[in-house]
Amino acid sequence: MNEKPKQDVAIRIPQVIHQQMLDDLLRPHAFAYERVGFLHTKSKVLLNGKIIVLAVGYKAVDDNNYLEDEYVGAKINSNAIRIAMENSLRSQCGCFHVHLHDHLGTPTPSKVDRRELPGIVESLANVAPTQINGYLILSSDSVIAQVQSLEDQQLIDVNLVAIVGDPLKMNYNGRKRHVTNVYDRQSFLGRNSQFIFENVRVGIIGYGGGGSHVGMQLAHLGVGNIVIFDNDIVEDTNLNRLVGAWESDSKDKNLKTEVAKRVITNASPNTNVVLVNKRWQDDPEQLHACDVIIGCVDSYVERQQAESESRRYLIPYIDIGMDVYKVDEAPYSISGQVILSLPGKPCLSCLGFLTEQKLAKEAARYGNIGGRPQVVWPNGVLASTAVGMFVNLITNWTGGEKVPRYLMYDGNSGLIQEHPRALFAPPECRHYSLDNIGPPVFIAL
Amino acid sequence: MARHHNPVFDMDFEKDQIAELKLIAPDLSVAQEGGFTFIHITNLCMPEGCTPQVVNALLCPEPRDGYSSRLFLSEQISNRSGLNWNGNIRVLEKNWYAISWQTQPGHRLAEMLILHLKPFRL
Repeated sequence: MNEKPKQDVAIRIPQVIHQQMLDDLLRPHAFAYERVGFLHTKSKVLLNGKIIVLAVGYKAVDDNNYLEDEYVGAKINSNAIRIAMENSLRSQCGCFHVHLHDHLGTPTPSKVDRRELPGIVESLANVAPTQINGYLILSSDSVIAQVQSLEDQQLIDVNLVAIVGDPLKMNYNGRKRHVTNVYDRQSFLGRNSQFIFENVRVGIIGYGGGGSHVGMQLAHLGVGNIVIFDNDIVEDTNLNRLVGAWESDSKDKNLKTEVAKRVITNASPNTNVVLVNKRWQDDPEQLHACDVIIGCVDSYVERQQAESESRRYLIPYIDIGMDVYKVDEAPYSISGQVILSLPGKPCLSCLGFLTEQKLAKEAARYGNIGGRPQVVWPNGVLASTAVGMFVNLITNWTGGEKVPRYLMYDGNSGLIQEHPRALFAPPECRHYSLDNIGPPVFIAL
Repeated sequence: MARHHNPVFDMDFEKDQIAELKLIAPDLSVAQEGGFTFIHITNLCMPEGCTPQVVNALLCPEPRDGYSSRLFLSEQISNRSGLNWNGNIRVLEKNWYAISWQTQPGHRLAEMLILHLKPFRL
């Protein structure tokens, strides 16, 4: 794996499919030393050239399609390759040869891998030339991949293989960039945590009361790539909670994203801040390129759309929101939520947070949520909780301890606890099928 | 290939209903998102005088957002006043527009489409 990446390629694999691969590849075979399988994928080439590859299914090689050969770990016959190619053709998918090096740490291709795999990838690419084809080598806790370039058909290294689940395992191809003592106090988050922070790409939808706290905290963590989606200018009424905004921003009618850029780069000059001064729906590829999305939006319909798009591209979506309301003569109540929506796992609808009634009520108001009360500290609490959720998601610093994914906040008492609805959610999502990953498929009627 | 079957995603339309709908809009396809099944209509002819005259559309034949069914259009119809455009949504990787228009439940697909086109007639 010495080739310099020619294209930025990221592969996203749902945890359930990754587990399926490990379970299959670890099964003993009657005579082969190891096993082989094929991962089917959909892909999208973004306008900036970045390629997103999404795993949609895994197919094991049948026991009968192995050949006895004492010089290699596993040798499969042409029938196995033919079946993989037929699956690609039928599903209009790309395909990856997969095998396992059963050890801990980053796997490296063996001599046999280097000799044999390019030919197999070539065959796979011949039947799906517009899709991304390649190979993956798994280890017990890591994975590497190469794909055939669409430009010159050479094999190139994949920059990132993400196993999308809880935790979100980010397997980057590369080495630690810079050495600094800035992050010494957060080294308990894991040996590779800072390397992951440097490389991960986090999208923030909405840079208001919640998003501004999130942006600032991501900068302090040393997150290397932050994409801000917001098309609003700073107004007087934002200054009570838009962290980092100055009075002059309102007078000068500066964009909220300009505040974001200033705050983030002041805290973390090396962070690449991408400003999307429009609705994400008008530049969706910027969203597709993100590894994690933190949604700080006001309306239910915006949440529904952000979650839908995130699910389609296998992106974990963390939602935060707060509300201040009054019932009769009782004092005002502040409430809020932080929800981690993971592909394959219960969505905002499964969790009972998004309901037809709420969406209907909002639609009846034409999406106008009005100038509802908002204050700075609950936004800070919820944003900090979301950042904590994000950090645990990508570093797993709690070591696999079961961490709630749906938290509710009572701003009057200051308590945050797991929402009871989470206990009754189905184990798997009932609304976003993993079959609907990637660009939508329209079936002719 | 592993499929993640879930009965929520099954929604078969009756063939005779599709045949009826095709008499109005012949180019139909189906896709799913978020637990909803949508019928995509390519090149739907809008009522006479609409600008644009031809749009792509997405018919959601099940209750959504408080409506018993919804019709989303790829573009807003510019020369029809008095319409309440309240559905600017992104579904199936495209941005769509819809007006606030309630129909009664229980209609066949072709009837549903015709009822949704009614407010665009002069």
